[in-house]
Order: sequence, then structure tokens, then C-alpha cells
Amino acid sequence: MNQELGVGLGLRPVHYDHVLSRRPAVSWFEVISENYMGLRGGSSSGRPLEVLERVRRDYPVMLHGVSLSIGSADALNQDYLKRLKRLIRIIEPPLVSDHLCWTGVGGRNLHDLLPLPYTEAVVDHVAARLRRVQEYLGRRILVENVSSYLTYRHSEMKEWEFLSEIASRADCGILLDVNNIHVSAVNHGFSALDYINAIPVKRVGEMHLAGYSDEGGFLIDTHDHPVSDPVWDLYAAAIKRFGRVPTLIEWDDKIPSFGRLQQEAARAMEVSDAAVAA
Amino acid sequence: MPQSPPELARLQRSLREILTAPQGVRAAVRERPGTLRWIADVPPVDSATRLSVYGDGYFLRLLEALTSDFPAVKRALGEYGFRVLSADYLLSNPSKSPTLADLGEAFPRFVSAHPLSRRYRFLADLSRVERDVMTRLFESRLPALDPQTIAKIRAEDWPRVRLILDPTVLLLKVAWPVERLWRRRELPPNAGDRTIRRPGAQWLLIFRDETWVRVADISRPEWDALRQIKNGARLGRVFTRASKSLGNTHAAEVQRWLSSWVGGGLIKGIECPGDRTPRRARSSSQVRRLRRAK
Repeated sequence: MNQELGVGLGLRPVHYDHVLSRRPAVSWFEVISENYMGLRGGSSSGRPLEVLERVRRDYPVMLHGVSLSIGSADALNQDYLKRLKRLIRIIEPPLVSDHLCWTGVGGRNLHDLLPLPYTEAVVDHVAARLRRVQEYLGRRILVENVSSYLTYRHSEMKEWEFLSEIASRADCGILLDVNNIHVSAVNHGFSALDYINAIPVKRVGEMHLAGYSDEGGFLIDTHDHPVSDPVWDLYAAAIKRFGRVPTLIEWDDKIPSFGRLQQEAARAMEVSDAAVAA
Repeated sequence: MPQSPPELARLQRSLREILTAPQGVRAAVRERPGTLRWIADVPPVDSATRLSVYGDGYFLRLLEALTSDFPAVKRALGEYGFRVLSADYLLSNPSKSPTLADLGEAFPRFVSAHPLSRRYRFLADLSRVERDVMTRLFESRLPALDPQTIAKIRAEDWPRVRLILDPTVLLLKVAWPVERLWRRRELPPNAGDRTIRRPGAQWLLIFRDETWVRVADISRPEWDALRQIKNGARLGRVFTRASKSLGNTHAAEVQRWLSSWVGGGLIKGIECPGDRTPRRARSSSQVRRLRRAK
């Protein structure tokens, strides 16, 4: 699945000028879809989309959403899907993804990636919605495992079983966030390697790497640090299992210089090369 | 369309109430302990602490979004005042959009009715300017006007032409001179004025150039002229009215306006008398549509 794409970087506004003027060596960029959809009721997306269209001329651009809310009890937001479809038509991204979570209910948006209960009923609910979304968009999308800080008493299966089952029933791809697996593994006390080893190889179309904050043994997925050593180790294990899947370096807060991001991408390539050679 | 599992809807609504409770997650859980029945207790971190990670994040994330959209309002009120205003706003205007750019949509109207506006009477105008800046950011620009378009207009036709302004151009009249507070929005609180004591009307031109959104304090005659142009008035009529307010300085001033409008990228097309179609640049979306049609 797009193995030649290598390691990409999250494109954030602070680096727009650098990217447009210097055209730095980067395999691809990923952006947050919602930042390029414009305002509610508006017919245009203004400067953000203008910038993205210019970036798109020189690099592949992936769209990564945070508000599909595929696990919400609310009906799918048709206006949102329409705006996403328009953006996909303009940018023509090799990969489109969002999160396996809910972000709001009752018409209100919490703008957070909230975990779902791992039950058969929710698997049915989410898989059916994913099929409808893919049918509407006319393409396969990838769903990402979120980092989480709580689990539900009535869950009936492990998170990796939940993710794999949904991907299978919806026939969608998986965006495996290796940092999220580590964060959740520490917070909930499961084995991150068990998680990696249970995910079906053919479904994984992209991986994410990021940094977290350690709040006294409880990890928060802050995206404001370099990738940690345990996550690099887990990434090596993931590459051995899934092969050279396109990988993104995410850094969304306390964003460093573009050069520092490129160093992190270079390290991901080194880890990937070493894992493949081993 | 299939229904969602009833238990999922109950769980999500219950969590939403707890995570967005103004008194904080712990206090909300004490009032509604039933919510904890959903959450697995995994020592050493208790369920309320686990919920608090999401509850704390909810307010901080939305506060950050409002801070980013209304930096001048925040500078005027200071950290604490802006936090109070934002908390009040989020209580009565919870986010109903998937995109955070919509969060501040009702902020100016809310600010104008908020008790803080009685103390900071310029606040409603300042928040209006900042929201308008946001809407201009998301408005598409037309490509630059070809200089040949201007050269081709015959001298005798100029009074009858209509100028087409860039869609990002917005004209705003405010009762308080807030433009300088907007200009200082990124400065530290102690660097220059944070507030305004006396009212004074300002005629503002807000538009987006190639890099960012600009807010310009312009004269009332220039603002009036731009408003008439935006409303489709012919140039001769626009400048005749301007001459009444400008008197002897009329010609030089009008020349300065035109030069500034063209140089600033405000003029994107010219409709000439007798033209079947206006001479205007095509937007990128128009070009895309044409390409698809071929």
C-alpha cells in the first residue's frame, strides 16, 4: 500500500512560508482536513486552501480528519461529508483518514477524540457508518486508533480486536498510530506488542509517530515532544510486521523548526531501514 | 437509516454533560455519580481523574481556539478576564460545528451583551473586527487584475465603468477607534494601550492580500466611495459624490485612492459600458470548472 511514500510531515501554518519558499525535501505532507474546509455556510475556503493547493503542486498531501465522529450516536453530518468530499476532489490525496472515536453528540462538538466501548453493537454501528462514508466519498478511508485515558466497564473485547473487526466489516484501512498504542498501553496496562501483533497486516495503510507527556506514569498524547525511545522500539516492531508503511511525524504543539522535524523524519527512515534489514 | 445502539447514545450524552460541566468534572461527578458506572476503575488512577483529562482538555482546547481568533480582545481584558468571558460564551454557545473556525461565529454578538462590555465599551467593536478578519481569511480572492485591462479603457468611458472589488473586501464602521488595538494584538500587555477610554468613529477597510488579512483605518469619503463601488455604482457617480465632501482636494485624493486600491489588490475587474461580460480575473474555482468541462 503506497510503500514508496516513505516518511511524511504534518504541515502546520507556522511552516507555510518555509515550505512554499524553500520547497524542502519531504516525501509528503499530511494536513488536518477541517482546517481547509472553510466556514460553516461558506462556499470558499480562503487562504488555507490556497496555500494547500500550492503545496499540492510539489508534494503528495494526505487528508487527516478529526471530526468525522464515526462512533457518535448522532446521525452522520452530511454537510461535513459534503465539505470533505469537495476537499478530496480538489487535493486528490493518496490517503484519507480519521479517528476511531466519537467527538460529539446531540449536535454538540467536544473537539476531542473520545474512546468508544468495545462491544459487538458498537462494532456494527461504526462499521455500517464507515461503509456509508466510503460509499459517499467514493473511496476507501483509513481509521486511526486513538490514545485513551479511560475504558468502559461493559467493553466485550480488546481494543485491537475492536479495531480489526471494524476494519474487516467496513472494508476500510487502518492508520496505526504507534505512539497512541504506547500511550494507551501504559495508561491501561496492556502489552503494546500484543496490540501490534494482532492487527491484520494487509489493512495497515499508514502509521503515525508523535511525542507524549508523562504525568507521573500516566501518559498524555500531547504531540509536543520528540518521539520517545519506547515508541521508536515499537515502530521498529511495527515495520517488521507491516513493512515500509507510509509514516507521519506529528508535532502539533511547541512546534520546532522545520529542520528539527526533518531530523525526526530522517530518524524514522533509519529505524525503518534497520528494522527491514534485521 | 439504522439507529445507533441506545446504550451508546445514553453513554455519550451522559459523558458530554460531565465533560462540559462548568463546575468541572469532579464536582459534576459528585452531583451525578451514576456516570461513573460506565467507566472502568483501573488503579492507580481513579475514574474521576481519567474523566478529568478529557474535561480539562475540553475547556482548554476551546479557550485556545478563541484566544487564537480574538487576540486583541484577550490583550484588552487580560488573561483572567478573557478566561471568564470565554467560559461564559462557551456555556451559552457550545460548539455545534465540526470545525473550530466556526467557534467564534456568535462571539461579537455575545460580547456586546456581556457585562464586561459595560466596563470595556469598545469590546463589541473590537470583537467584531476580529471575527471579520477571520471571515476574510476564509474568503477566496480573485486573481490580480491584468494591467492591460486598465490600459484598454477609453478615457471617455471611465465615468461609466463599474469597478469589481475583490470578494474579501469588507467595509465596517465602528463607534470606537479599535483599529490601533487590533494592530497591537501581538504586543505584550504593557507595550502601549490595551484599552480605549473615549469613543470615536472609525471607517475600516478589511481585506486579504497575498499574505494575510489587513485592517486599514480609512477616511469616511474613501469608505463611502468603496461602499458605493461595492454596491455597483458607476465610477462617475462615485467620484461626483466624493467631490462634494472633498472639495478642492478632490482630484488628488481620488487619484491616491485609485492608486492604493489597484496597488493593494482591491480592484479585480472592470465592467465597461457596452461590454457583454465584465473584464475580470477568473477565480481558481472557475478555472477548475472550465478544466473539468473540457
